[in-house]
Amino acid sequence: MTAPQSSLEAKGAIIVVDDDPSVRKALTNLFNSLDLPVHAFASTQEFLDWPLPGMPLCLVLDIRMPGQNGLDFQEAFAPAHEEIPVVFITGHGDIPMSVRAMKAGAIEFLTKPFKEQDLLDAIYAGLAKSAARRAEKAKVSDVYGRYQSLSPRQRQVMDMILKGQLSKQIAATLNLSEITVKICRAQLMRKMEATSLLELGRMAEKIQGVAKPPPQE
Amino acid sequence: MPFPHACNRATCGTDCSIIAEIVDERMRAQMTIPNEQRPSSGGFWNTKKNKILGSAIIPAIAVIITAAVFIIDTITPYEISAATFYVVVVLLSSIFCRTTGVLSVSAICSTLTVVSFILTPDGNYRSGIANTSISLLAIGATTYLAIRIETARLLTERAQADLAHMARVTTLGEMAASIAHEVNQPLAAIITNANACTRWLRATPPNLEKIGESIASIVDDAERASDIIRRVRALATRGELKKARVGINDVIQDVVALMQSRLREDQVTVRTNLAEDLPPIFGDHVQLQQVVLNLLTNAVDAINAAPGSKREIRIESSTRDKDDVLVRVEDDGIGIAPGGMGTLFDAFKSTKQGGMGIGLSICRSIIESHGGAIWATPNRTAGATFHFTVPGERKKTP
Repeated sequence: MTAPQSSLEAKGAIIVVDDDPSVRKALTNLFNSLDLPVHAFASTQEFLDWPLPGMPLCLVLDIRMPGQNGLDFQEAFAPAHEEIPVVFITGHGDIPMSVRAMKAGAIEFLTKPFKEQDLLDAIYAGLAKSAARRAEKAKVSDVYGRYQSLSPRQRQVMDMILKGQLSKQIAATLNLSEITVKICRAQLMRKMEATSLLELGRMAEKIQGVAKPPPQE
Repeated sequence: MPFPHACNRATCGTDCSIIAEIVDERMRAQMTIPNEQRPSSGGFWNTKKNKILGSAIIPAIAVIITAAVFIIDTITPYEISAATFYVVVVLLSSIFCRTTGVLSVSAICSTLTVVSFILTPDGNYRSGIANTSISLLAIGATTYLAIRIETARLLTERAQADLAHMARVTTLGEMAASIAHEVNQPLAAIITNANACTRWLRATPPNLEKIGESIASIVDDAERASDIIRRVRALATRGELKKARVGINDVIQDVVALMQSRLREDQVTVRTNLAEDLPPIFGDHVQLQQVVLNLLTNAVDAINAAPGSKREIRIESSTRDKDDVLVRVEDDGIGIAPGGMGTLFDAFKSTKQGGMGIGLSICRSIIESHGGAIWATPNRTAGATFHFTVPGERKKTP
């Protein structure tokens, strides 16, 4: 394992989970030769016990393992960790397995022995995706923070604006003067750092899943 | 058993008693199987010959009889047809010789008959001619029958080997996925290490330490892959029984290694408790592997069929009766139905869906052809234990 250097933080790290010691060792060697930090684990449990570092990560996961197999693990793990893409490697894969893996959002499904380029393409795509997801997540939480800073009245007004209501209509509904509504509107636009209604709309969309309970499933 | 018309009453009596003796010997050999569960219908094949082949007593008896017959035939007058007793020698030779051996013994006996005829000092010359011809005919007919029996036995043996081979290949076919996995694992490691190695080489300056490590890993993994292939190939070979000195622990370890992937996949743990100083046994490595493989796959299937199982198989090897080797394969699977014990080792009786029901019957015939016994007992808590014994080599060559 290589200690992540500051310049590599941005690049991210690879996590290998494979019960086979020689594959684990080989993958560690390969990623080390690429100057990529690697953390290798013999089982999914070992991996779960490990505190996740705050950097882009790509998970290289074996399917056949004692204890929990890779596919079951992905199904349980992926929904809560969208920012950690999974690349599957398996000694013997079949179509149902690969369909299941890809449906659950895997980047790639490689059968051992795999071509180096395929694996590298997959992990670089994974790291890029991880970085993008992390950035996106950061942005969302930033916007959400701004939204949280609004007063209840401002939020109410914001909701109504986004529904397409005019200041006059809002004032009537909330029993306020039109001037008050306009001031409130200007304040919330400033707090949200939105330059236009369109931008405010986009922000609202982004935080929709976070701010409100997700739509019924 | 048809007999030459030429023999007189006295000779015939002797011959029959010899046959009775041989049959008796075979019966006794079967009786040594200490197994109440053993079905009464008898085995799929019963080749007891291998057990008797090792013994040196029968050839000695044959030589003594030959000498005695020759002396008596020579000193008694022409009227007494002692040479007919050579059929005993021919029959005995069929026990310890293959076809060519029986033919040579028969040729020697015929020659001795003629020599005795020449050497016999007195008696009626015509009766001498008649008696000698009768003796020669008897020897010829017995030889013919002995060879026919030998050929039939060889055919049975070949059929047995073919069926065992087929069963092995079927099992290997079922294991194909896990074997592929097992081979691809080191291959993936080799390719990955080689790629890493190339990169370490290209670095400026080349990282010699990492290059060395990578190459060492490549060698280890290549050896691992070739080991697996060697094991699979050994199991897939078809051939006559090749008996040699075998260590039963090696057999067990080979099979467990081959099953590794399947065991992992089914999350079954195998605990082995192998005795260190086991007597070496004389047998066919592949066939014994087949027995262990079969018992192990059955155990895994039994565990898969039992929901509450601890998913553990225990394999033990130990010495029994000083010179025998005993192997126990214990699982905590679904066990054997109370009514199933009696037909457990019968051919074409399977409790498994899609099972052909030849696995255990092949196991039994293999173990019996090695002079051992195989039986099963239910466990006190859950599952079943299969036991088999194989006589140690020391016992065979006193």
